[in-house]
Amino acid sequence: MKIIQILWIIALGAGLWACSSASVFVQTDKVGVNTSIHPDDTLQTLIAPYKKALAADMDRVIGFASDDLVRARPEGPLGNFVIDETEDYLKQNNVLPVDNFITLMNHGSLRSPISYGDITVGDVFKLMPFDNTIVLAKLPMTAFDSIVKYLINSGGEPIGGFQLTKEDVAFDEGTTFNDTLYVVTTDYLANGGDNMNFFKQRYEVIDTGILLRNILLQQVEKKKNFHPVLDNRIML
Amino acid sequence: MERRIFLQKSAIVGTGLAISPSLLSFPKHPEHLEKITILHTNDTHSNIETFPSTHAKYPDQGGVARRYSLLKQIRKEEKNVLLLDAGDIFQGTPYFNKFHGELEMKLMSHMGYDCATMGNHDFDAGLEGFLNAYQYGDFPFVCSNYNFDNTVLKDVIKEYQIFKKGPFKIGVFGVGVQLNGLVAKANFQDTTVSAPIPVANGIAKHLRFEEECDLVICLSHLGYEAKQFKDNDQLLAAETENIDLIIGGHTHTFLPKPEVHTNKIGEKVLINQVGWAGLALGRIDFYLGEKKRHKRHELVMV
Repeated sequence: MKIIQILWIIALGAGLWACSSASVFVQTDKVGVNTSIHPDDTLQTLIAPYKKALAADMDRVIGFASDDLVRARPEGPLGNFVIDETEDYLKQNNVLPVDNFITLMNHGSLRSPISYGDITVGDVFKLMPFDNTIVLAKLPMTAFDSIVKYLINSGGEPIGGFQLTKEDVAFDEGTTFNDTLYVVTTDYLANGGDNMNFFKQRYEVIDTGILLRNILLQQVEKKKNFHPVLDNRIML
Repeated sequence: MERRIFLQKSAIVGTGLAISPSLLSFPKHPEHLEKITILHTNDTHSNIETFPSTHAKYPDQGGVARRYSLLKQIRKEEKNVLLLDAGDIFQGTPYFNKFHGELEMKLMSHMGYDCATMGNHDFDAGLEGFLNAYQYGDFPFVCSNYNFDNTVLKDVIKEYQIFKKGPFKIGVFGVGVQLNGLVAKANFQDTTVSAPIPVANGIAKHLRFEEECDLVICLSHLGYEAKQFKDNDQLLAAETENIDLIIGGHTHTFLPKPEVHTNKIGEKVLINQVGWAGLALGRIDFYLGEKKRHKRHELVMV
């Protein structure tokens, strides 16, 4: 009797299932987009004038350099230009939640100098071809010693907000920190790029999502005239 | 090409009854079933052109004109197609720097995108900038946990959108990442952000039971795993109900295939994300039988 009941329930269940036909089958796929697919002509036509204008834009003059801005160690005018314009942009646009910070970038990422004369959009793209974004890293104060050691070992990197000499290291006037050191850098370096391992001690990293290249483009377009700056921020 | 088959069925039938595996198999003639194809991208980041053959990581991949050829081919084959994007359409190539999103909007409209949500980088031109670009967009944006009432995007961005494709009614809504600390205040102004999970629960329930949608899809720009903030797609899946599919973005995650997760009440929910830059197109085909509306259902992987 009991067995019959169970069988009946099973049969009813199967019947209900069949009647309801409530099935939703799902098939999934991932389709790669690559050169094996022929590009659509109508879309190519739509893109063409933009592509052309963009190419022309690379030659557009957005500023002027009174002398060559070149990369050098321990300190060079190109590094100082990138640091100072980044700091100015962040302050002018209130991008960061803090006013006090130091800035650290890397010599190696500055791929091309800004030469005497007109500065074009293309020049800035050549200087900073990478899509690096500007981030704010919060580090313990103890990380500062590691930063100084790194700078001494490497022979110098572009910096801002502090001065480093053979005898001494000091934050710029008005820049003070309590327990936390705020460092403006690129997402590449904050993630340990160029062996900047001290960033691994970070409490937090806030990514502004703003490309360093875009900051430089906007600053050049806004301020127009640039002179090489060397102010002995690193003397090793 | 990866193909997987899942089965969704009414919970009322499944409860307490062992159904033989043969009943759960995919029919031999699926062409008799009604079908809808969901196609999706995320984090395309102004990538218009195919990456050059010298590209370090993705040579000869991506490109909107190739994506469109693919879309046209799929539309030729399928009757019901829905094309969605999970945000971060803007920022990443000089096209955005120069044209401020105009070209991205034009291309997506031309390609026939049905709906998108806003990622954090879609605020990069500011709210006015977005609005300016959006005059070239002819598809709705859904952001359910952003409130734009005190901004220029009031009445421009929708809470959700319902699509009717053949016999299907599909509800699509969107959840976005916290903007504070990620986007410059000047770029989002007085937009307010609510916790995404309670919002998702409210809207999904509405879409399932009030609007009687056959499918509920969430476009999420929270990220596959926690990045800057704790909310993410896996948590969203675990703590909600009434969502069938979460199409993710933000973390640029290349999921090899859509993942099946368990929701708040033990049902299954799909999560997918296809990297970034339009390198791939996600595709999920749903075959519906005589599915009863406003019934809870369970995803069963076959």
